[in-house]
Amino acid sequence: MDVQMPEMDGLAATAAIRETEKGSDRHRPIIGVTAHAMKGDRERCLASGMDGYVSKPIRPAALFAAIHELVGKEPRAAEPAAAPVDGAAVLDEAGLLTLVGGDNGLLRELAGLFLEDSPLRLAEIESALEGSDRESLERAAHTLKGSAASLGGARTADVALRLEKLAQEGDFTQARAAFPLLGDEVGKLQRALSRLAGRGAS
Amino acid sequence: MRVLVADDDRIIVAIVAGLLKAKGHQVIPVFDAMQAMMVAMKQPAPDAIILDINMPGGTGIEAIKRLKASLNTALIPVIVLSGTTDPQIAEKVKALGADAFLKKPVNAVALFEALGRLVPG
Repeated sequence: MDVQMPEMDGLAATAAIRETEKGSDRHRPIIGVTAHAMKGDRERCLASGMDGYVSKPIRPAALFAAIHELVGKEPRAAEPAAAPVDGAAVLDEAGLLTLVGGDNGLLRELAGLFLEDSPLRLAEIESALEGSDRESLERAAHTLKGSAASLGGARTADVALRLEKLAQEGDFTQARAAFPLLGDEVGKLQRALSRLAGRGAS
Repeated sequence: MRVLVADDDRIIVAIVAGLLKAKGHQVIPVFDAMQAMMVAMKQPAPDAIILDINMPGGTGIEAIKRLKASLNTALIPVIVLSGTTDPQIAEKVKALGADAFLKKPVNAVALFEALGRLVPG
């Protein structure tokens, strides 16, 4: 999570997320991102409830290391028991490796872009659902669908397509019901991409 | 060849650019329809344009119309790359003058087939 953001900064957002998790077993791993490596940034991020910290410009190796560290700690029980999307794989690794033609640099670039951009799309979708904003919901779901599908993330693309169609129909009740599943699928795809990119790096 | 790649999703731009660069082509990446038109009208003109039609800054549909209406850009092949759910979209964009329509997800074989067919040499 970016620390400097308009309206609500990343530290306040993290504190708010931690507040909602109180009394439950949930703990969403949050990695803070700051533009300048300022003294005290790390401490401020961790104090707000973040689990890790990286500074911009983002270096893929540092980002993946931070993610691995947190995902490795994540208890297995925290994996959401979401309804599976029929048949499709979380990530078509062979397809993606073919697409990048064995270029590990490109693979890491694409994985890094998805790790940066997919949370933004999810946030746009969430706020469009809150505001019952059909157009924004359709656009964000459409964009997420296109990039996920092109990276080989068929399950994420399927759920994003479902939301895109629900936006076209104006069915916010169903769309809101489908949103947690989208979040779960995006999380799985993020982890699968970072694993694959991490493997290419070593 | 020099290819203008326009998509508001930078992941798609990165994928297409990666495919093209791997074959030794040059890529001009842009992220909205307005930039796409401005770059297309500059000399030297790109050899081909790969265009999303669902972008902010005026739609890609408008960009196709304008590119095909201007003498400077009418002959540049326009390949539409879209993930739209509209089943008639391929006919619609071709009626506006687009030279090829490719559906997302990005498919390298289809992309190079279209480029090979549309760009001489």
